[in-house]
Amino acid sequence: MPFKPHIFQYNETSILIEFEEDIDENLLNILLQLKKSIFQNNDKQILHITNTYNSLLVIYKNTINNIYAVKNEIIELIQRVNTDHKLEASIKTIPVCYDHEFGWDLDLLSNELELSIPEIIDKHTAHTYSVFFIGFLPGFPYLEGLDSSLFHRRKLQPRQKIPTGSVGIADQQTGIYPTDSPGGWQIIGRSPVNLFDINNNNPSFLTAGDQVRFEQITKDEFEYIHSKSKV
Amino acid sequence: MSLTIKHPGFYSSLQDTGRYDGMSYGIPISGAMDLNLFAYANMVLDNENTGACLEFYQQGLQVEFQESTFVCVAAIDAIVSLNGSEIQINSILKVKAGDVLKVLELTKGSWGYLAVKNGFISTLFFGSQSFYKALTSQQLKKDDELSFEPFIEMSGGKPPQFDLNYYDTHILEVFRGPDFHKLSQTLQYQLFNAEFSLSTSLNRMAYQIQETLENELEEIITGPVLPGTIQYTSGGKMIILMRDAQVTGGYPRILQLSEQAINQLAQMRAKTNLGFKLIEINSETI
Repeated sequence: MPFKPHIFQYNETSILIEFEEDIDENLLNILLQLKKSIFQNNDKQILHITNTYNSLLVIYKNTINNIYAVKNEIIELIQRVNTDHKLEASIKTIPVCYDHEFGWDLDLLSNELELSIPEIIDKHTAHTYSVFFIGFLPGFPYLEGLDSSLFHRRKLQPRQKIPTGSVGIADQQTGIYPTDSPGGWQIIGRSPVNLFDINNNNPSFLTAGDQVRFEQITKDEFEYIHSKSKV
Repeated sequence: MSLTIKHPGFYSSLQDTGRYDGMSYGIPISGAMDLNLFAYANMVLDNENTGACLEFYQQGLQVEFQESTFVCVAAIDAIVSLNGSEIQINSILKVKAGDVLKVLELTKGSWGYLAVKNGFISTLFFGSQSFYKALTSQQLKKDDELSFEPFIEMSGGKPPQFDLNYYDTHILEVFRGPDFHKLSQTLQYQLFNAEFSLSTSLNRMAYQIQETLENELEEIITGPVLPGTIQYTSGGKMIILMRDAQVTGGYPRILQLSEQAINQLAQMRAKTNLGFKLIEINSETI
């Protein structure tokens, strides 16, 4: 077995599986494959499985009576994960307006990272990001793949209100606020796309395993898409 | 329309046993703060054990019925009136159109439940009626209306005994959290031997502990959390996540409350003293 995660009973009904491997697309692929196989193997007894960067949380319907049996079952499924097999990912484009009105921290990042604002935008739109999971707020994507020259720590003092659609940077992560929220991320732009809509069958625009690209739009384009998405 | 909120009290909402299928979209589990008392309220009325109840906090809730049914007001101890006369809590109560029910005060505990025969009716999101602001309204307001099926048949008999001893403890049973092993021996010792107290920061998302312990841990890479997870913040504060907690978090998860301990804690008030007792379920340190 190439990897040996820790399997830990989290509470009466849940198991946490935590990997020590580097956080990259390969690990995401393993997590998502394992998530699927654990569920398919025991779908009658499992309530839900979520993943984060390096963990799976498996919640059972009933109290776990025999942790050793559950562990052995999971270890067996881990051994069967095929690292060469890649899950199909859909690529989604998210338009972002990097105008000063929305990119509150562009000047600060430009100074501290010693990059011009167009360079920041180029680097942010050049990469394809992987959605690792949705957490923090309904629809909030945790993305991996940020250009290392854009890494920047959070604000020491979080802001009271970050507006819906704000695109931010925090350490090695970039993400989008699906609703107004207090937050400490450095804000570089805003997207008019609605990331969470409870009226949709799948209320989150993004799901774990998706690929994301950011596309720069003008303020007029922002206003146009924004007005359309409200109707 | 079967019931109108005349006065919402505080943090009043519809709650059931919560939703799990929204977790992958970042939606909290939610559900009744005290699932033990919630289950009892439904048991008294012989409802399904997941029937949605009106959850309320401390005092002030006032409702007027437009239809007949049987209700149960479940609380550890409370003063409740129907049309101005004090009624018995934790029992079966007949109400008809025009009746006004008032929760004057919870004299013990923090959360109470109003159950109606066969439960309240409202839209399901991911299989649950529990309020959560991204899905439903955040809490009930004055003049809001709630629906239930009118019930005019006979009901009666003696309600099941409510076990008050369940709440008669200040020691909460905990399991080791996934990041517990990162704590020094001294801190591990302190956690199980010191007395703590609840701060005044208590809500459906989290209950905060007043005392701080000198923190020596780095933040973790964002990982899964659950109701009952005790997070240890960079400032040394301990935050006990409750039913509306986010599904992921970046603070070390040092302890995990048992299901029973979450219910017991939910009913504790600000400044209550409490301690933690370690229960073994973890077979391996992470």
